Amino acid sequence: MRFWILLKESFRYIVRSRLLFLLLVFSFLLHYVGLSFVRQATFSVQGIVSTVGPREGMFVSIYLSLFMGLFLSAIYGVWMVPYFHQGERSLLTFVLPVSKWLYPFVYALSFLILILLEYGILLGSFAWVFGKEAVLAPRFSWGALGICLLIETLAFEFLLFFFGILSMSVGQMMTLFIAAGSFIALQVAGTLFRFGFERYSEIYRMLPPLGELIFNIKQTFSQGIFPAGHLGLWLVWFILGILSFRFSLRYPR
Amino acid sequence: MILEVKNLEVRYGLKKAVEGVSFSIGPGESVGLLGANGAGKSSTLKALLGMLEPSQGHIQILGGRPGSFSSFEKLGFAPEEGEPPDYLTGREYLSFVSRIKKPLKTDFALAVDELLSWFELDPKKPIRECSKGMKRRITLAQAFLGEPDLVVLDEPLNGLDPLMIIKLRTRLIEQRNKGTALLYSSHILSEVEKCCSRAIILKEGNLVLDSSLESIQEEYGGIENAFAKKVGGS
Repeated sequence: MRFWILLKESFRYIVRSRLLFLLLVFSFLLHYVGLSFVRQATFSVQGIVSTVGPREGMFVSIYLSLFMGLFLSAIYGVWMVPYFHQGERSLLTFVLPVSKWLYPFVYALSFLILILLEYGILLGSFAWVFGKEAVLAPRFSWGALGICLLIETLAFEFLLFFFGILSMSVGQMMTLFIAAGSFIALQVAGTLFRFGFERYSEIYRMLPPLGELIFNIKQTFSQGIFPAGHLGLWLVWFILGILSFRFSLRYPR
Repeated sequence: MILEVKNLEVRYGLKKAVEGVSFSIGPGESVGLLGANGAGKSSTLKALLGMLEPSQGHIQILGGRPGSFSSFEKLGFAPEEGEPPDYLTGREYLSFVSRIKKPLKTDFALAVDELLSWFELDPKKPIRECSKGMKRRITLAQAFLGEPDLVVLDEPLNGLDPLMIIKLRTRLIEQRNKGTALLYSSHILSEVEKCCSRAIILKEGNLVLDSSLESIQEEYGGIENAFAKKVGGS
């Protein structure tokens, strides 16, 4: 019962802070304008002019969704998750008769709803730009698309808690710098380990596979390769994120 | 017993903020927690509410350990500097706290309306548009929701106008008569004298006086004299 009361409150905050409105508008603009632009582009290879088809269009949509999800997890994690648990407000939140375990699950579910809305906009924009038949008789695998979105979702959920814990610990500004630094480091490491440096790759393999995310999506969508290892690793990091967040609420901040 | 503290010690690194403090509060008792700045009042309150880990001692609050779910169900707390969520109105915030405290209770609106009216709050005004005094009233109002067995108030008079101070005093006396225990941390000795039946005085982390106001009156001629003698040494 208390879980639903908290979830409702979390969503009221999302609506009143205008995050939902901004998500809907920004996501629609990104997907619709992005796909419309891609749809009109033509490529000329050895004199043969070709256009971007629904398959490539969906591939672009998944990438756009990756950026939108990262952006959303940063906003939700850095500003919204800490709202009830920081400063003078935290004293009032702390003494509510609510199990501290509920908070990470409420935030994870609220965020999942936002992400699902984002995916809804992705599919809606895709259908609008490429037509209904591109969705009803797709030239891509729904299974591969589902796995791409699943791996993205787990990554965003983990990042949500990563941003949230950092924001409550070192502040918003520092969080953005640390997150950007980590993102660049993991991307660079992901690229470097493809060309050697195996000595250090054991550590890298244990870290959140952020540097592999783009490769995973590409392989899954284009070649149907199921990234079971990385999916599992994201799940482990997501669970660690929930546990760390729970224990970061041990005392008011 | 509503609250039992035995040999409480709180440390910040090597510095002892509270040392060997023991006291208890029974149902319907109203106890003033007094002390100069840095005497250990806030540290004691934080330890009671589970907001910091004592280095030593034992606390039992409302039948549970500090910070436990069961203790918070029967507790009302108004911190000195509490800031309610500013995207809500006063009514929405009080309704939220009320539902969280008693999820199965359906008639929470009555209690919320009574408190809104009693604290003279505009139910539809967003908290972000409220003055500091109004926010203070909302913070105090939420402490009385859910029929608490113990109300802990930390410097409750800060930011209140004189009329509301007088009103709050009557509310506290009413609550006490209903059997609610009260722990009232304040610098304002005269208010503690009017609202409480007992006073605890801390000095440099140590409990230097724990006595009923009647006894204090008899022995020292009033709480101000007792405070001056125990804290100021005069």
